[in-house]
Parts: sequence; structure tokens; C-alpha cells
Amino acid sequence: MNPKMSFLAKAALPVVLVGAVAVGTWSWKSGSMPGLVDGRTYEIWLREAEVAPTDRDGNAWDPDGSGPDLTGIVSWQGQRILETTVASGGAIARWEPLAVKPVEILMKGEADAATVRRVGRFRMARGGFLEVGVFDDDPFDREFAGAFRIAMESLRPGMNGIRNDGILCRLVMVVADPDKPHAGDGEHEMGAGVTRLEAPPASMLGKSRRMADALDEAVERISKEFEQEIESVKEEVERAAGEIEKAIETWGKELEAVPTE
Amino acid sequence: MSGGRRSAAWLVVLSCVAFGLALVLPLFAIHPAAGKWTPLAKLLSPETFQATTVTLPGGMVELWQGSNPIDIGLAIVLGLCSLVLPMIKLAVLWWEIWEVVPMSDRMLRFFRVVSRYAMIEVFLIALLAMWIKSMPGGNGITLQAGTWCFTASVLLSLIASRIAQAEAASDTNLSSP
Repeated sequence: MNPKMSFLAKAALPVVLVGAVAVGTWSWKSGSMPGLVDGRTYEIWLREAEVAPTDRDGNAWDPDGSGPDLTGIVSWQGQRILETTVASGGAIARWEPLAVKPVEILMKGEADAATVRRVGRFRMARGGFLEVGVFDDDPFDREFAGAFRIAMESLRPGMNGIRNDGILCRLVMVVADPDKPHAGDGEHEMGAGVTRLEAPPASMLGKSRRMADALDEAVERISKEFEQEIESVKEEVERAAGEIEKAIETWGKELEAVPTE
Repeated sequence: MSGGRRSAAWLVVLSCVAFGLALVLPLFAIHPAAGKWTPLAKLLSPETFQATTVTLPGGMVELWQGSNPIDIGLAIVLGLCSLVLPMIKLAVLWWEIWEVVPMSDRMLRFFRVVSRYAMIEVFLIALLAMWIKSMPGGNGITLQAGTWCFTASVLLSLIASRIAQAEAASDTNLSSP
């Protein structure tokens, strides 16, 4: 055998061995990350979201050419449990689990840690899921960027990341046990258990959209009530007309019965 | 094959296993602190004060993705010293154990240079640990399994190298008239 080939053949074993051990340990480590404990309450907050440079129609996010003003919503059991602050003007938004509201603190005169923490809370349940959506927050409406339905079993304590080829291409959320804040500093890339939603869940619809829906409902109710009112007035008029007719008839008969001189 | 060479071969295999583990397992964990405000700060933002573990590939990727050219240079140096050179060192050592013909002078020189710079990160980790511990605020650092695996790999390969050299020397003495 060529001496060079002989060297390569002999030298290959340590390289192969190191590679096999590294890959084996890595796959074991990523597969053995403990999940959430059934029945325990956890805190969740959004850390980062990234959207494509253009919206669903291929247009710029804002007419002035600036980036989207992203805000994220997390809902559990059909109710919003977290709404982030608005991260202005960028395709990559980053949020912190703290949001100080000076006015609220001034009004109350005191604040505890729970007041300033902007996190959502949910209880781990097998078969349960969370919905996470990201929107471009405009003055009059919210443009839907993307949303995911996440099976609770697929979440891990620490950072949970989702990569996607849709408009919402990256989402990172943090799940923490409030009683063990230091437990779970791992980074977990989610794959199975995540479903992309093509429309925002009802609990995430924007204020204007919800107001429009409420207005529609009110108009429908008023028109139904008005219709009923007209119907009852019509009945009343018909009844009154019948009575008048009857009275005229009686009066005519009485008039006929009066002897003429 | 002599008993000495066989022992050296097993030591190289163990060194490879330790090195493979060290590449994946965390090297150290940093525990951030904010001095006397630590309890309050932990209460307000537990996430910020979570211990951060650092792995070799993770650190290299983070440096590589940095915009600073110094970071990219550091990533290259780190990759060379902790990935490429140790691999070459182990491969050459393995070859030396199995090859009856002694190493050429050129190869020996190359091996010495490689050995000098391989696994330099064990020294760097010690330096980093000292640096972080000296930072204000009471930051802490704890060495993790990856560092111990690196150290074990270095020690095992050193012992294997000494045994292989001794075997080579005795072979040379036996073959000389």
C-alpha cells in the first residue's frame, strides 16, 4: 500500500471514534431533555421573533418603508395569557419578561415582582396546547404575521425555538418553573408538536376586528328588536282599526234605530 | 505486538472517547451575580440570572457569527487548537503505535509542533475562570464535565505518547547491532 494511504487508513480510526462519540453523546443529550411536569404551573414569555422582509401579500410591512412593529400574543384554553410590548421598526423583535408601568405603580403606591413581570402562566396538561401569534401592530389594526399551535408535551424548560419557512420564520419562547427559576437553562429546537396556523386564533383577533364583530352583532340585534316592535305596532293598529270599524258599525245601527220626526 | 504498545493503543482509544465527549458536553457554567442586589435582581428577572453553560461548538459558532473580525479570528484559533490539532495529534499517535518503522524526522517535528498547540483551551479555560471570578458582583464559574473530559484526554494522550516513545526507543535498541 502507498505509505500515504497507509497513514490515512491508520489515522482514520481516532477521527472516526471521536466523531462517533461526539455524535452519539449529542443525540443522547438532545433526546433526554426532561419535559414539563404534568399539573405544574409554568411561566412563559416570548424572547424573540423574526419575520420575512415583506408581508403575506409581498408588500412592505409599513407604507413608509419602515419595518414591522411586532407584538406577540400567547393564548391558553382560548384566552390570552400574555401580550408583549410592541417592538418597533424591525424584522427581528426581542422582548424582556419585565414591563414597568410607572403610572400603575404611582396609583397603587407600591409594586411587587409579580406586578412588573410580563409573563403568561399556564398549567401543564398532557394533550393541552398553547397558541402563539405575532402581529404587526399598526395604529388602526393588527396585521397577522404568523402563529403556531404548540403541544405542551413538546415544550422544555428553558428556551424553545421554532424555525419555519413562513412569514414568521423564527420564534423563541422561554418556559420557566416559577418555583425553580434556575432550572432549565437549556436550548431546545422544536420540531414535532408544532403546527403552523394560517389564520389568527379567535382569542388573538385585534381590537378593531373585535369591535367590528361586536358592532355587527349589535346592529343585528337592534334590527331584530325594531322588526318585532313594528310587528307589534302593526298588530296594535289593526286591532284599533277593527275596534273603530266596530264602533262605527254600532253607532250606525243606533242612528238607524232613532225614530225620525 | 508488545504489551506496551497495546496499553498505549487502549490509552489512545480512551483519549479519543474523552475528546469526543468533551466536544459535546458543557465546558463551564457562568453564574451571573449583581452583588448585594442579586436577590432582588433574580426576583425581577430570573432569566437574566440563569446559569449559562458554554460548549466548545456553541462558543465557536457564537464567535464566528460575531461581526468583529477579532471574534472570527478567535473562532478560527479555537477551532484549530481544540478541534483540528488534537485530532491530528491523536491520529499521528495512533499511527506511531501501530507503525513498526520509526517516524521520519519531518513527521516527528510536525508531531511536536502539533502537540504543543493542541488542547491549549484547557489553559484558556483556567484563565477564563480566573478572569470571571475576579469580576465585580460576585460572578461565579463552575467547571463542567466537558473540561474534565478535555483534561482526561490530554493526560491520556500524554501517557500514551510516552509509552509509544519508550517502545520505539527499545525497538531501535534491539534492532541496532
